[in-house]
Amino acid sequence: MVHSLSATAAILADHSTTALTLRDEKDARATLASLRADPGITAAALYDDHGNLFVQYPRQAPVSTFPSPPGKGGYRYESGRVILFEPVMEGGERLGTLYLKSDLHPLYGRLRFYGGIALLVLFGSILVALVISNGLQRRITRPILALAEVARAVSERGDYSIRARKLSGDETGLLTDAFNGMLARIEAQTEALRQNEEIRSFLAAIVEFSDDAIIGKDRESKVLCWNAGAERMFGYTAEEMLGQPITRLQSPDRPEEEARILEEVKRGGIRHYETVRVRKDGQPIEVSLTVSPIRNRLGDIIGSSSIARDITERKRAERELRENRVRLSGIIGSAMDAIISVDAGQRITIFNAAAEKMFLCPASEALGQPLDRFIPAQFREAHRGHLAAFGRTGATRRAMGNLRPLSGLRANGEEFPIEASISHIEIGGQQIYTVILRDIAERKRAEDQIRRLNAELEQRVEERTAELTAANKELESFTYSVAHDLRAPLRHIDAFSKILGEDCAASLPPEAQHYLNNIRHSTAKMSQLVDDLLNLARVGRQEMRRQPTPLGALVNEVLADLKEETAGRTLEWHIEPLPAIECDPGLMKQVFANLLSNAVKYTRPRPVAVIEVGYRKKNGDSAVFVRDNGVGFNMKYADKLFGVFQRFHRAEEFEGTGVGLATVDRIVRKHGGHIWAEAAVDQGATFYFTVAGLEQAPAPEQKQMAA
Amino acid sequence: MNNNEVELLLVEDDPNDVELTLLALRKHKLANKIHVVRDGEEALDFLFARGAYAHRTSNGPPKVILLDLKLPKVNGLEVLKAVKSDPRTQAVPVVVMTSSREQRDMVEGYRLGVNSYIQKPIDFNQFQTIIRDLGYYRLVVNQSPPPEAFPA
Repeated sequence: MVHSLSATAAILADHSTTALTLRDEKDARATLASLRADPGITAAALYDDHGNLFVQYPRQAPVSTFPSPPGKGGYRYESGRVILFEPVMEGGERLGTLYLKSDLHPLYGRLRFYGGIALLVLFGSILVALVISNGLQRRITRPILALAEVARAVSERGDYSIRARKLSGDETGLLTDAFNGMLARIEAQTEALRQNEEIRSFLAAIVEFSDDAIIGKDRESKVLCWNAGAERMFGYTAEEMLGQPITRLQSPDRPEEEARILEEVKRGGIRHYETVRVRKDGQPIEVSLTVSPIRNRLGDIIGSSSIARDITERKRAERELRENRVRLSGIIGSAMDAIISVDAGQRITIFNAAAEKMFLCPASEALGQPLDRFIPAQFREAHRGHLAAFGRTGATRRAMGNLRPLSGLRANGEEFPIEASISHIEIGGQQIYTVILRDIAERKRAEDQIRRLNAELEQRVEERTAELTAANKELESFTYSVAHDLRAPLRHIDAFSKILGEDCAASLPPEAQHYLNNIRHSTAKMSQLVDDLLNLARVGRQEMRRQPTPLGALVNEVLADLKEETAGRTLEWHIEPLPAIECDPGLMKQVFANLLSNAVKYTRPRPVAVIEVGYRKKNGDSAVFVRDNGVGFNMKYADKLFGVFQRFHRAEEFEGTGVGLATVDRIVRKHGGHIWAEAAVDQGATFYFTVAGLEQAPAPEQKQMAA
Repeated sequence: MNNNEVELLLVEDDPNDVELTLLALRKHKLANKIHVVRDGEEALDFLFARGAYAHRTSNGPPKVILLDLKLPKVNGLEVLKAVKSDPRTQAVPVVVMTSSREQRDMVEGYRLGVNSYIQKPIDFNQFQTIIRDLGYYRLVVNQSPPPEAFPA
């Protein structure tokens, strides 16, 4: 704009030089009038070299609207106008100044016009672009966005089964196909991976929860894998074993075994072994091993797996089975009874030595034969019936002997009575009947004999009892006679001696009285002997009348009876409390009477007699004892102490018949007890006796007695 | 009192015992009227007036019977039984005097109703004392059963 104005100004200035020089107003005006062609220029003027207005344009324009003097060269904007001053030069000499005033409004209008066109074009292009973009969107963006959506869903959900929808057959369609194809592959791979994973955890679980020890080893037999079963079986934890050589488990008596196994594994193939391993606690353990090589993808052996099963129990069972078999065949072989097994077809499968002997038939001939051969013909049918019934009822054991008397048939045709029991078992679907037979011919004979002997014995017992009863009667009448017939003459001797001494005193010499006295003494002694012997005999045959008896009371009764005998002597009695027991009080009183009167008698030389009665544990027995401080006796005669008529003292020292302690011994033994004594010469004596029930007797009352 | 009346019947087979018993009784002047029989049969014959004593006019039973147990023919316990089971003699006191101290005899004697049971002591002094006391008691002190006690 300014440029075109400047160009116009330059051209006008050039054209104006002549007019100015010549001061030709007309020419000048004409020059300016050419500006009419440019409606933008609203005013123009030429100034002379002095700055005076020379001509103006338009001609009618008032002079006042022009600047005076003109400005220097250049342009300026002034309220929507451009003011331009252009010097008019000629040969370097300034001739004047050209003034141009251009109104900008027409310019703006043009600018608006151009702007409108430009906007129009712009809108047009946008419209076109929209149309194009719409088309493009339909054909490219939407399928791609859909793809992106699918991709997002896939990645978000991890669901590779989602597929993009194919919207067109063009390149985006191809893209969708390619994408879906890719998804399908991923899905397939993911499924394969998942299945692999499942199989892997499945396998891991099998390995982990297996009761067998499952061990992985590398080529050097170092442990790579050690499952819980291995931990349990060998006692080592996985931490302890991983990286360790498997030879740790090797039994010291099989040092080369693991190396051999390793060699065999390296040659390939699966091997089974039964061997012994050693647990962490040192216990040997019998195992069955399955060792197999592990190969990498190229088929190279990179290690081995061992599956070990604890067969200690199985081995033990096998051993037991073997032992049982041996034992069983030993039992069967040595059994006294015939043992015969038959199969369902009645064929003999077992025929032991006793059976050979019983039926007089070697096993080699019996085996495989029907059992009928050993059954008398008349029983065969019944026997088959038994077996069938036996099989049906399913009972495992029944004595057939209970059903009826059975008979067997020896090879020599002899029939004999048997007793049989039968058992039925089913092994692997096979019915096996085992019959155990006893030849009771001998027993029957023996039973008959026993019956006969028993009858004889009974007969003999009866006879003996009768004899004994008779002997007893005889004995009784003997003692009865002794009582009567021995005593009577004694009485007579005593009586007539007395009468003789008194009634014929005058006619007798003095020594006769002495002899008569001797006769009477002997008579008294003899009568005492008879009485004692009768008593002893009576104790022996008298029936016991047991009743609860406080022993202390018996002792008190005896002490009362002894009062007379001990009169005038100094005696110290120490009577401890005694228990109450079941006994015959009359007999038991005789025990105390004898022992206490003995104690009184044999302490006679003592100025102070000390006699104790008590109750002690002695030699493991509870015993009652009577102790005195009397003359005692020599223990070497102790075994004679309780014999009849045994005396340790001369008659002049201590009177007695030698029957008393024998009587005591008999009474104590009748009460299920025993008696013994401890003594020393001049050291006193202690008599102990026990009676049945003394141990269990309630503790005696604790009270002290003295007489 | 009838002079023919027998006060004491001594049943004793042993002549020594007879002599000693009589000696003891006479020494203390007891029982002048004593009859001695030497076995059980004779004792029963006398008491029930039969056999050798069939002629004996019944003057009633004796005041007391001294009875040995061990007697020929019929033993003392059988005599006792007969005496105690017959109403004619039931009331007569019977004193058993025996050598033995057999529990069985004693039990049986008392069961049959013996009035006293005495074991003859060996010592003659004791024997005399017993005979004396017995004689006094049975023949002097004790009131014998009245005749009404003896049905004919």
